[in-house]
Formats: sequence, C-alpha cells, structure tokens
Amino acid sequence: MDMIETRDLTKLYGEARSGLRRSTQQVAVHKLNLKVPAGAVFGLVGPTGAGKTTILRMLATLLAPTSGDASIAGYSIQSDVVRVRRTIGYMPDVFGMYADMTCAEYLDFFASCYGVPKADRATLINDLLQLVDLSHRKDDLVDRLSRGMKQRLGLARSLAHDPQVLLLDEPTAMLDPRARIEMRELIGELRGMGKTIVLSSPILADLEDMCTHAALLVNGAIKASGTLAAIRAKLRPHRVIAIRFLGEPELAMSVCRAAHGVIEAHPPPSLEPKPATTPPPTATDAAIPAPAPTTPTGPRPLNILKELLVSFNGDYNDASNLLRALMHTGVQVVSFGEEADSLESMSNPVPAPVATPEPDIAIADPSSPSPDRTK
Amino acid sequence: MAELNAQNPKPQIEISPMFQKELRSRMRTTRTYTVLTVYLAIVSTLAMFLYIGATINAPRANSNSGTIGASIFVVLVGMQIVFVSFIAPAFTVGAISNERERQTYDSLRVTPLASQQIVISKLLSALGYTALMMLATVPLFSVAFLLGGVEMAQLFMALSVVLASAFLFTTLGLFISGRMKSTLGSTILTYVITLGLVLGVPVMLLVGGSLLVRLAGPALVSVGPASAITPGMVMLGVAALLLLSISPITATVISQLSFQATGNVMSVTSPFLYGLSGNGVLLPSPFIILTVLYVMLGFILLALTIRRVARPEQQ
Repeated sequence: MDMIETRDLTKLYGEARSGLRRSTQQVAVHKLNLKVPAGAVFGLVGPTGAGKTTILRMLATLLAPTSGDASIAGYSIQSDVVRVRRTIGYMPDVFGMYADMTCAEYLDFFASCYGVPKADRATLINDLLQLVDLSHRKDDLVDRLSRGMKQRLGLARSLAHDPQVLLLDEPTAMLDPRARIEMRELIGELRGMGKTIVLSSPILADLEDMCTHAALLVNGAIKASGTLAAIRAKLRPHRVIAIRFLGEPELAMSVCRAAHGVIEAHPPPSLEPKPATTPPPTATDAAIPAPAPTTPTGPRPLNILKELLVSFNGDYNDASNLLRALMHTGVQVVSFGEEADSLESMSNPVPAPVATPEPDIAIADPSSPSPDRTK
Repeated sequence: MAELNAQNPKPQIEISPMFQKELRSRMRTTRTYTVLTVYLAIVSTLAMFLYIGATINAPRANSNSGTIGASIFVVLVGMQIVFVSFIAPAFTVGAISNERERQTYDSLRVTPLASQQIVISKLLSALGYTALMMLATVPLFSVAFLLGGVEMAQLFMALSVVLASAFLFTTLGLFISGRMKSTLGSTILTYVITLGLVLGVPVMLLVGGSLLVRLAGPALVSVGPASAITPGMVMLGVAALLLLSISPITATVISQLSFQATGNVMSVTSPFLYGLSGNGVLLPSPFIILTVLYVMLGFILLALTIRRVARPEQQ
C-alpha cells in the first residue's frame, strides 16, 4: 500500500503573464509522480534548488500546488488539510523555537495543539524526551540547547501526536558528525516503529545509510526513483572498476579494451589537470581536512600514478582475467576494485569517453583522496 | 460519591493552548512590566502635577474640587487614548510576522490548530494586556471621581472610545502582521495608518476648517437664523462630523463638549446643522459613530487575518 502518492504535482513560483506584463514564473516542481510505500524511508536527493523543500512543504499543506494533487494516507493535501496534518509530522530544514520555553513546555504546547489530552501529556513528554535522549535537559530553556539537541527536540515535536508519516527536510543539515550519526540512528529507530519517513538531503552518503527508497531530483523533475537497487540499475546498468597503476596508460587502456566483459575504459574525467589553486570544498569534503598544499620545498612526489575507469559487465572470472592480463603486460597495478556506488556518482554518471587521450595526473600524496571523488 | 465521580469524570475545560502560550510568553518578558510601570508613572505624575497646580492656584480646594476632578479625568482619558492608539498596536504588529522571522510559523501552521484559534488567541492576549494597563489606572480614575465634576455618562463615552480604539488598533496590527514578511515593515505601516487616523484627521480638519472660515467668513460657523443655513452647509456639517468621528481624539472632545453643553449623551446638534427643519438636526454623538465604525472595521480585519493565516502560502 502506498502511504504517499503524488499525481502530476507541479509548483511554479513567480507570477503568470498578465496583459503586457511578462511572466516571471519558474518551475520548482514539474509534474511529480511519486509513490511512497508504507513503512518506507524515502529519500529526496538533489542539489540546492532541485525542489526538495518545495515538495515537502506541499506535502505538509504549507504551500499550495500550482496544479496536480497528492494524498497522504488517502487524504488529499488540498481538500483534507486537517486530516493530513493529523497524519504527518513535519520538521522544516531551518526552524526556530520559542526561546522562552523549556523543553518540556515546548513539547507540551505542541502536544496540546494536536489535541493530546492533558492527562496523557506528562508521560508522552517523558517518552519523547527519552527517545531523543534529552531527558536530562527537560527543564532547560530551549534556547540553551545545542544545534544538534534542537534538531532532536524538533524531531520529538513532530512526533508529539504519533504521526504515521514523517516529513523531514534535511534532518542532518548543519549538524556536527556526531549529531549526524545520532540523528541517523534516531531515524533508524523510527523506521523500526513502522513510520513512513520522507527525508531530503544533499548529503548523499547520509541518505544511503537511511533510505529504502529514493528519488533523484534535478530541476524539479525526477531523474530516477524506486528502491536504491532499482536506481542503481537505471542509472548505471554496469559496474565500474577503478584501476590505479604505474606505467603507460595507453598500454593499460589497450589491454582493458581487449579484455572480455569490458565495455569501455577511459581515464576519469574529473581528474583532469587542475590549476595550482585549491579547489573549493564540496559538501562532502566539508568534514574532511584539506590536504596540505604542495610547495616547492615540500615532499617530492613518489611517482606518477594513473587511473582508469573501466565500464564492466563481466563476471568475477572476467575481472580476475583482466587483472592478470594487466599485470602480465607489465602494468604495475596499485589498486583494482569496483568503484563505490554512491548516489552522487550515479546522479552524475560517467560520461562517454572523449576521443583525445587524457593527460597523466601527478598525485603528490598517494594517501590523500582525489578532490572530486566521494565516498 | 467518589465512585460516582470516578465513573463520570468532570469534563476538563482547557483554555486554547495558543492563548496560554501567548499569555505565558507575554508575562515572562521584562518589557511587559517595564511598559506598565512607565505608563503608570507618566499618568500618575501628570495627575499629581495637575492636582498640585490646581490646589496651589486655588487654596480653597473644596469649592474647586470638581474642576480638579474634571481636569484629572480629561488628562487620564487623553492618556488612555494615546496609549491605546500608539502602544496597543505594538502588542500585535509582530504577532505573526515575528513567528515568520523566528521561523516558528511553519511548525505552528502544520498543527491542526484552526487559524481562528491562532489569530484570536494572539488578539485576546494583546487585548488582555491592554485591559490590564487600563485597569491599573482605575485608582487614578477613582481620584477624579472622588473629587467630583465627572459624570458616569462621561466615563461611559470615554470608555467606549478607548475600548473600540484598542480593538481596532490591535486588529490592525494583527492584520498587517499577517500580510508583511518583516516585523519592521509591519510596524511602520501600522503606525502610519494609526497616526493618520488619530492625528491626521484632526490636523486636516483644523487646517481645512481655518481655510474655510477665512474664505467663507465667520458667518459660516456662527449660529444664525434658520433661513441662513442652506442644505449644502448642512451636508458639509454632516461630512465634517463624520470625519471628526474617525479620530478618537476629536470624537471624544466633541462628544464631551456636546454633553457638557446640552446634557445629551447619545446625540449631538452642531451649529452647522442648525435650522434644517427649524428644530435642529440630531445626529448620533461622534463617540457612537466611532465605536460602531471601529468595531465593524476591527471585525472585518480580524476575519481577513484569519482567512490569510488559514490559506496555504502561494509563493
């Protein structure tokens, strides 16, 4: 049974053309058709501006769709607003709290807004605070909590009426790594309770750990959706083997192309030679300290390390034969393995090989990660 | 008996959670008590100076106490009008825009709480505080009554204007707060409209009236024979009276003056209107026009605010 279903859900921002005035409309979400099964943890993945928050705000009945409709537990978000609100718990990406309230008062207020009887509220508050591990801060003012604690309290608030569906907009955003892990564990617990959870995040590694289903959004439209395995199959019908080696790239490439099971072999396009300046950190890189820049007086590069990405649809024997062939022809293989199959790499699949050969890449510190590669 | 009670538990009447929260938040800030203290200090200091000044000028206080009482009453009423016009809107100008700015609005709106519950709770909380400030001045009003010179009818007129003004200006603040994204913008717009209503109308009439007198001559405002008054002048008089009734200051002044001159509470006869039927034309006293007008406008603004909060955002 589908807990959430959207039917051509569309949202346009700006004003439509009227008279001589030009239309300023921009598409935020375009004819979205999604089905979220009951009990699923559904991830909305996409870059900033992809429409994740707009979708969640429409589902939360806070934003009116321009056209189309959606239903949650069978209730329309347009005609059954109150029932939808009783069914969902919504946590916005950025939210404030009433600074003059204590944690217990904050939860008590929202529980009473949802009509929880006064007699049941004390127990409920204790349970919620225990769930989000804030029992020890029960009588502290909300304003004195850390960012991670506030996020957990916000989650507790959205659970005050025991909703079937949780809509969490970037629940791990702006959290430190520890708080992020705690939030992930909490969402796992909620999944165990049978809640249907829709969450969004541009941090793909986070979603991969939590989601059973996902949709990749680009410019308000779905690029792929379904179970993670289905998305993988759709975006990347074959595996990619990353080979790092010392020696002539042309030789390695020719060996690879001749091997059984290999569709294509080419250097990674992201590893083109870059200017000496440090590249801007990506969201995933943010937590990783940048490698020290190489100076003329710094350590000398160990050697020239090359890399090849091999699109591969063979079996383990074929892979083993490929490795053996490489080593047999004198290619000094440093590493040979299937590339991590992250959602991010799937949303940006390996482009078709270019005709001109890629230049070699000098890697100063073999232990440092490549700047554009993600886990 | 205990068993009976256990079987039929009393239905618990719960105050709206929003109203409770608003009252609690309001009474937890030091600003609430500061404003109350400063307001009382200003009003009582003025009343005290008035009393001291009057007793120094007229040593035989007994013969003059009515005048002193009336003076204190006028000052108190004037202060109440200024207070409800310029301080009461401050309690609501940020009621909704502040929720947006603090990013608590979405969390609130996503609850099944009805929009009327949200809006009315915020209004009642603001009106409750306004009422508290007015109640705090009751001892000063009682001094005015003890000294004499003030009738219940005058108090009734003043209270009508003050309460109606409090209602309109708080709903105005709430309405604009619901429309504007920032509290600063909401505050500016609310005060521009309030200033226009409270001070703009009297100033406009003062300037317009003096120009009219200069152009048309003193005969226009003098009580002349009935034949000298034309229907056009009567219409002008009616329009002027209606305009004067828009501002709580002019409405109160004219209502009180008319009462002192004629002893009539509910109606007013203006020299402008004299002579249409030979017996003078009676119109509702400005305080009645203002009360009806302000209460109606207040309810319209309240309904529009509720509608606004209920509607999902379009952008």
